[in-house]
Amino acid sequence: MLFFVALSSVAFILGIIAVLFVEGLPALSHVSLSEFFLGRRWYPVSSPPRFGLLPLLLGSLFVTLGGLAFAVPLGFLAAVFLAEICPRGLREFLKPLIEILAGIPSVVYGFFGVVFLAPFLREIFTLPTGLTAFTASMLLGLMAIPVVVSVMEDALTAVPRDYREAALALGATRWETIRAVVVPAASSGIGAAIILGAGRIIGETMTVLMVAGGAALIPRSFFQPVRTMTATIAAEMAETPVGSLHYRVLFLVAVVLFAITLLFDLVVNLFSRREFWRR
Amino acid sequence: MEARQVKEKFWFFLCGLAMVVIGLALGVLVGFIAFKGGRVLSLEFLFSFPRHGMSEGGDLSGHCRNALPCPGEYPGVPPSWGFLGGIPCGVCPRSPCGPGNPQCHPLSCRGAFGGFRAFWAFRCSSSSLALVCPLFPARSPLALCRFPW
Repeated sequence: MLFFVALSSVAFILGIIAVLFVEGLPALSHVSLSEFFLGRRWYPVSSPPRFGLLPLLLGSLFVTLGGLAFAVPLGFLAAVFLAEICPRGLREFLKPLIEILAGIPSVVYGFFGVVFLAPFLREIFTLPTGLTAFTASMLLGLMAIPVVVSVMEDALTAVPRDYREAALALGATRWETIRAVVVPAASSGIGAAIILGAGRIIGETMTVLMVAGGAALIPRSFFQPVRTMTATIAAEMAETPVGSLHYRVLFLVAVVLFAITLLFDLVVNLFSRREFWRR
Repeated sequence: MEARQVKEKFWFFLCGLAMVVIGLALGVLVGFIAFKGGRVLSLEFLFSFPRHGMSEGGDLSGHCRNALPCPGEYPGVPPSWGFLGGIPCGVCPRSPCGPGNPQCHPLSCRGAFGGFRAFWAFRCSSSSLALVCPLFPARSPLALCRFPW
């Protein structure tokens, strides 16, 4: 029985992958790979239609890198605090508090961004609009923090106590022990946390749809509106006739997104296998 | 105090600060949700809901009916891009540009939204143009009624 339940989950995943490819790949008979990946214009209902993925790809890249720029330093320092500095009692209180951030629905983050953060940043930086890659990055960074902190903290606490005691016995201060012994020993977990955070950010849809600005243009600054691949699929799928070229190209965008997240997962697995790094 | 101890205290302070920043972000987020959502709990708001929801220019179809001109800085601009459901239609643009400013002029949307007029956009660059064009194709009535951000 358990075997069949496990098998069904694998079957569902394979089914989803099959649907993505079956619906998406026929688009390549109308749009060449170079036009799709290197095209600079995403005008799906113009005449003739243009399906250049580059603005969307760069939009996703911008918000992912921006989100990581917020999440990684904050997450790393918070994880070090929780794992190495914080008293046990306080940690029991703080860790669930951070995990609350993971439980908040993404549409609430988007709503918060649209109503509070975007007008605030627009006033601060005197921008024509607050709906920019920067706003999306801030929110996505905040959303990725629980994943980053949790995985990094687990990696840091998994370092054997003997390592710390040996370093302290050699005369290292607590910080020197953390920097030179604990963090390098946990580096594979820290790397995995960063990649998992990136995966969380690049797959996020609702928040970027609401706060990134929705401009399918090649971004030149973090303070410009961008559109990501996920937001494009969400915004346009309901507006396109089933079976049309536009419909199939949206599936092709989903295939690209799937390939990117798969790559992230493979890298995480690679990081997790510490033997790989010891070779 | 030794330099290495000062360094240690600095890094420990930084780690604590990161926790405080995350805590503050969580506090602001939860506070915002509680503050905005808490309004619904007031009896006055509940009893005045129809007035809040519908009579300020919006109706439940998503159309904005209010076409009054904006006062002051944006005379002549119809505030027709508000939204329904408690947020009034008829919000005037807050862009520093306006129709009277020779550097800025209303433009039309291109590409996917060809022919759709970005009538409340008063920026000149193409990047700014795109951001004010509707996200959805023109057949959506919501495209005419957008939030002022």
